[in-house]
Amino acid sequence: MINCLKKAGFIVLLAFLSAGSSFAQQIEEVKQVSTGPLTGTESQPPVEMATGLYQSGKIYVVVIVLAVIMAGIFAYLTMLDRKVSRLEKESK
Amino acid sequence: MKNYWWKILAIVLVLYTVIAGFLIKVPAQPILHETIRNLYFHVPMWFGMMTILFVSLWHSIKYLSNSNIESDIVATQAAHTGMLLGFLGIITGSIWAKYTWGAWWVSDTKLNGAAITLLIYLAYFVLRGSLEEEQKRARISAVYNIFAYVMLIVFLMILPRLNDSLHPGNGGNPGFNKYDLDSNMRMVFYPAVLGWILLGVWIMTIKVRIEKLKRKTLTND
Repeated sequence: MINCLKKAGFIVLLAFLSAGSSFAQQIEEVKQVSTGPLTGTESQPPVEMATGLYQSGKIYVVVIVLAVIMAGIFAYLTMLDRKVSRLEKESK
Repeated sequence: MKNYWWKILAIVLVLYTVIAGFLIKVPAQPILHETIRNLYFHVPMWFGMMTILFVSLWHSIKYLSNSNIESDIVATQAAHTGMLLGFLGIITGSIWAKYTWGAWWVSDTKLNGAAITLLIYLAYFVLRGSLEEEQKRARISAVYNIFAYVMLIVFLMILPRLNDSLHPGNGGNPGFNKYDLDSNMRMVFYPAVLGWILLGVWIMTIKVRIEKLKRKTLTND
């Protein structure tokens, strides 16, 4: 019984601690945001741009995907072009 | 190399704009945010459409003076390719409008003008489809094509400038020059326009060649 109570108390304590630490994290995050480079003046709110996306580097993935798609379309067009050229030669 | 250098140029230019269009710095504008990059992709569709439809007009006039059916083939296929770019332009514009102006379609002079222009060109294909005799079809649709291009100029170039429009450079809005086309953006925008025009011309030439082959085999049979 006492053991059980001890366990419960320990869990509650842990919960409080974790909640407290996450709260502290939130405060830190808010601080970081407010001192971040994106903050504008009081009268003008900062314009949100994809800075974070560049930092994480993942925008390049999209660029590569698009480049691959366009390259595929170009390859297809080139093939079509050659096919028609061949047909033109045959029909002469 | 003599004949296909411009195809390579088209590939290089469009690939360059797809990559640089995402990576080069753009001015931070409220409402627009990163969607300002759509300028590199949405606007060249319209430049491409207008150029290729001009090619179509040119060949229609040529047909009326020389009655050569090959001019009619070029005019038709150019109109087809122009419609492809036009529909891509109107769809991309609608998506852009949804996330900046707040709706898929707003009652804007330029939007409605673009829609009417596309309908006028769709009527060109309906007209062609309804005429059986080749020479007659070519002559009547060539005359209609001239009318269609004049309407395009009225609806896309003149009316949006006379009325208020949400598009930059029209009505009471400032033009691109002052507002959001800085020197960085020019470095991508102009190559994009040229690249897409060349790409459109390339697609058109392939369609023209296929159509000529078709005609040749049909007449041989």
